[in-house]
Amino acid sequence: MTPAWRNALNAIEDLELIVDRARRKVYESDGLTALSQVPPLVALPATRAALQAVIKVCHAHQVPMVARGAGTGLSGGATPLADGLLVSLAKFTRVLNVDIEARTATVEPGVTNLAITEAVADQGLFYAPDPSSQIACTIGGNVAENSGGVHCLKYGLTLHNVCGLTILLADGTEVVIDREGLWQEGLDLLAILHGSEGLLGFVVEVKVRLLPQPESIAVLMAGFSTVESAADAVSAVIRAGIVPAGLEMMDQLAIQAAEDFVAAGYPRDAAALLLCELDGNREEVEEMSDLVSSVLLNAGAVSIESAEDAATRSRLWLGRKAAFPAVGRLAPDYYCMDGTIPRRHLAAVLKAIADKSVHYGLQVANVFHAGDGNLHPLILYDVSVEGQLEKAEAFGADILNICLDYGGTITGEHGVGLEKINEMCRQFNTTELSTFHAVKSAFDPEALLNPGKAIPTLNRCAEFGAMHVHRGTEKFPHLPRF
Amino acid sequence: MTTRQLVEAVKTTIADGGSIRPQGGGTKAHFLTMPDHSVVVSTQAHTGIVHYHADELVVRVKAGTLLSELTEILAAKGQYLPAEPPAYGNAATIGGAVAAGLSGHGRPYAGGLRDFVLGLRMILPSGEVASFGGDVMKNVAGYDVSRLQVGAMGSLGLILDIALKVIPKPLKNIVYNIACEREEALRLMQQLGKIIGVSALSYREEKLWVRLSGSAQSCLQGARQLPSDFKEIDAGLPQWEMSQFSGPDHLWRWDGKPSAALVQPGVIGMDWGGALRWLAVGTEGLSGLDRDRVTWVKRGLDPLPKLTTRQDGVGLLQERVKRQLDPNQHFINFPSLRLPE
Ligand SMILES: Cc1cc2nc3c(=O)[nH]c(=O)nc-3n(C[C@H](O)[C@H](O)[C@H](O)COP(=O)(O)OP(=O)(O)OC[C@H]3O[C@@H](n4cnc5c(N)ncnc54)[C@H](O)[C@@H]3O)c2cc1C
Repeated sequence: MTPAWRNALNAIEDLELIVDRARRKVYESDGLTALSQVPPLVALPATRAALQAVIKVCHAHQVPMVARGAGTGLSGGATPLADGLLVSLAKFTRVLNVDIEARTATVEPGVTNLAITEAVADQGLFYAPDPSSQIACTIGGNVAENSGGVHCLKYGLTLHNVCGLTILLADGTEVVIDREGLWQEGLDLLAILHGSEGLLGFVVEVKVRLLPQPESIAVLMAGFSTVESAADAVSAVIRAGIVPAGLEMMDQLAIQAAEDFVAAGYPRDAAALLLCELDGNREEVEEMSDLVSSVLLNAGAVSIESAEDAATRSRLWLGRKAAFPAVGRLAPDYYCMDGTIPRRHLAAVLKAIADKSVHYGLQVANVFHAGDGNLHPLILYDVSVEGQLEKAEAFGADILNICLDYGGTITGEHGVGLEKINEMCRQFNTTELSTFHAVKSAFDPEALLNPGKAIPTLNRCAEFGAMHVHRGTEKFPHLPRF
Repeated sequence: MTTRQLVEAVKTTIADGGSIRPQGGGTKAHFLTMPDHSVVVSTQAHTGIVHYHADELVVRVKAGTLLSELTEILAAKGQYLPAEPPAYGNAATIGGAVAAGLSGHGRPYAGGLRDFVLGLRMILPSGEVASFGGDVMKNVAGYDVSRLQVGAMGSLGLILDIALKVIPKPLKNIVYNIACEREEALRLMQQLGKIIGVSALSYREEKLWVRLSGSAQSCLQGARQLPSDFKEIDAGLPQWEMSQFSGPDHLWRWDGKPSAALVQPGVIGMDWGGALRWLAVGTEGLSGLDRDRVTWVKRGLDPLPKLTTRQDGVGLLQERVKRQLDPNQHFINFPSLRLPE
């Protein structure tokens, strides 16, 4: 970060540079506020040419770069570097093209997730992945995290709904990966870019698939007296041959917090609650809705409410959608975790988490994308109490380890970022991590993009001391150092 | 055959200096167009279900398992692979299907095979065993190396077993067809593609085929929107077989927008609502092909034209990925499918 580098940046047109410390401070963290670093400089290019010029200058001067969308990420992916440039894509907010015939929209990376649907709604279309941060988060960030939403059980993740990307590599080279058709020739670069957390390239254009809005939607809410029976009910719905548009679960603490906050009419005394959304054409939804009601009752639902009108549906969803802020009222701080488990282990995993809650003396509320096994335990703590943040973090790490022990993963949709970098050493062995490094080298050989995030170095894992026998198959390997 | 035996086979071949070509049933070997000095390591004896949790919509299966067998096992629980990967022969294995990355009639509506891969275990070009992705529906830890194998034709290693998302079969499937010309078929496909519940639109042997899937009600509703001269066909929708394409000419795949004009030479069939077109063209017709959209499928009687991999930015990046993941070229390259510019 030499004066020569600064001068070269200064010469770029259509580029705003934020130097003022108070304004830089705005960018010090993403949604994971426990980690912060005021960036030494923030670049806000307004055109692709300006962005490309910024990247080329950084490449020439070997200055690392961190891409930032809206900064809603929850794992520290967009946390600035002390010795790098923070590049905000906030000015790339244009919807470039909507092709009604082909049902695609081409947008710039700073367009918010919801803005895509808003741009096509009057054509009867929508963009399916709907992270709950959708009013704020950007499509570029969604691609980088492969974000999901409550409807991804039926409609898939970001990966399943993107058919083209334009990226700028770490040396500024533009690569257009646009699948006009549906056939994939050679290696699937679109797949590898999704969830790559800004380590492989800057996403500068995204072509998404649009879907016709369903004719009819129904929401069912069912209360259960045990978590086990709610989990069994989820299996029973799927066994009946139905893949709902959404299938969410909340535990008792989450239910009560939501009721206190928004009074959605949830059964306060239920140990667990399921919300099930069904969509399709009218007759089909009626048919499915009757079937799911009886399945839920057979599975032991103690209360059930269903709605097809928009007002009641949004009331039933309100508690789930407000669950995070509602839980946030129970304690000054909360820490949101994001593991996925094979669903058959749900009851055992929740029990193990409850035991840890007692051990650490911190409460935990669970909201859960039940259809696909993605858990979001919310750990309650108070940062002003000495040692509680550390306890919460240790509790969080334990939860991720529990997920791994039951055959799951340390992150379902929020990414690794800085937060779960150590747990990566548990989920993957040196061979697997080396493969990730090889992928990185193909895209960014000098490691200028978002260094230190997502994929730990082997060195780091050795220091973390978590190099261990992996799934019982490997002997302790020799540790190469780099 | 155990993982250990396969690892031994791979390591021995590497030590002998061979370039490995993983193979299942060999039903898709004709996609490999390069002069072949490679050594086959067969997965055919590595078979069986590792686990199948129908309630969780996840199956993990060893690579050498027959596609037909997997299909039956899923059907017994009322489930299926929505991408309908084509077999092209009884010997087709799931590992080969994943490596070839082909999807059947359902591709535009239900998704491609890559959309359903959750994780896999493989032997890397180093001879080491590694596991990527997992058995769960949502997983963003590490780069998505498992989906990278879909369509890689075994160029990045040998797939040992694969975890796939499976889906309950539609409550009902109804198939209709109508005899018509190509141009008329393409026009109808554009129109019928908008009907909710359409799950296949395919044109072959001068007939346009339409499949509707969903609840009985929704199929009925869809059927009402079809022109009245469509006939219901009880036997269902026939799969494409490579043996159908056995003329003197080479077979090529055109891939693009379904609405694109029908100007390609030698169109003998269409699928995916017009987004996929099969072209049988002799050497003299090759000059009329759009080189960006046309890829090699199968050899005819004419001499083989010289083919290359993609040479654009994507092609160069693909090559860099291959070079990084297999620096010593222990495995074959992914196939050259394009006519040179
Ligand atoms: C209240 C709340 C609710 C949430 N709910 C969900 C949810 O339901 N599901 C879910 O999946 N996530 C959820 N998230 C997480 C977050 O919103 C998503 O990860 C989102 O995709 C991040 O988008 P962003 O624009 O804010 O990206 P940022 O936070 O700015 O960046 C995220 C990562 O992407 C990289 N990046 C950003 N833009 C680009 C680009 N153009 N090119 C290359 N790399 C880029 C960054 O470097 C960083 O690594 C939630 C977050 C909050 C705060």
